[in-house]
Amino acid sequence: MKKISLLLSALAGVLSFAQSSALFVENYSIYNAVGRLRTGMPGGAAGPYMFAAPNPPFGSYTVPAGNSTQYNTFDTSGTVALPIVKWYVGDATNPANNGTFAYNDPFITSVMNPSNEWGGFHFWLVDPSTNNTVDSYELGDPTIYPGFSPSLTGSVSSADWFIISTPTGAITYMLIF
Amino acid sequence: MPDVKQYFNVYSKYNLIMKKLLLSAVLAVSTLGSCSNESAAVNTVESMKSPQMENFDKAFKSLGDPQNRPTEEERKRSTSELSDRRKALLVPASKELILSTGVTEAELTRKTGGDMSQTIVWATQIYMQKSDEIRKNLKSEK
Repeated sequence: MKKISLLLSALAGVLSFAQSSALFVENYSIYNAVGRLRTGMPGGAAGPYMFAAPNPPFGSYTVPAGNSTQYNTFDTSGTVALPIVKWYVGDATNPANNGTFAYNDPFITSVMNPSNEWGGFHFWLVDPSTNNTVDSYELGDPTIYPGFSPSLTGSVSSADWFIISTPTGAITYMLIF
Repeated sequence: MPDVKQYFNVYSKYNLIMKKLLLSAVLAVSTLGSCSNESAAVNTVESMKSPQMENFDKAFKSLGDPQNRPTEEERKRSTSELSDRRKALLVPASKELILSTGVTEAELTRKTGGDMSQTIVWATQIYMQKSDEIRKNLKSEK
């Protein structure tokens, strides 16, 4: 019994290491980052894409000032510090896929996990006390979303989107300064 | 002559009231104490981070310092991979975090081959796992 569980956990370790890219998010600024966190097809190929539903209590997906969170996979995004409990899926190549899915829906696991990558964050930096927008960004991977940039500087802030890749997997980082 | 019995009754009543007061005072103080403990427990994901985790945080934050922003040349590259110059800024804190888990220098070198990317990604995985553990512990304390 012990051997089996050891074997299983070792296997789980190998499998989790083989997962595609996790997303590491840090908002070091004093502003809330409010907008659409997007995933997309590598190279901007046609196919399904999705963006994150609002994380309560916010009306749009928000990384509050000074907050951080991590997403290991799309289908585990509902159980972390800033949960994404639903994904809005769009697919011009197969409109039957359009719709809202729970993060742990089998569709997210079987279709979105293997096909999509973290694409970018189209967001506004909002002063939490006055609600004024101070900067806006289309931050992300331009090969997935043309018009998005991996490194940007605003009027009172700056932001980075990058990957660090290794032979056994990569991690995507989104940092707001 | 005052009734001794009556005197005794009054005295014991007084005693009882004092006891009750004392008890509620103790209760109040201990409730207050636990409240302040609770408010101290909230928002302490930050305070529960190890010094190595804090330094790892600081290293990533330093990528926002003016001298560490991407250069014109780095911006022109057609890749999202972080430049080697900026990766190097993350390596010392990453090594420190990996070693803090009990991994030896020799193991670190053997597993990463001294590669910057493998070192940073390994440290990030440790950081993510540790902050997740802290968050879960805080949740179960509530």
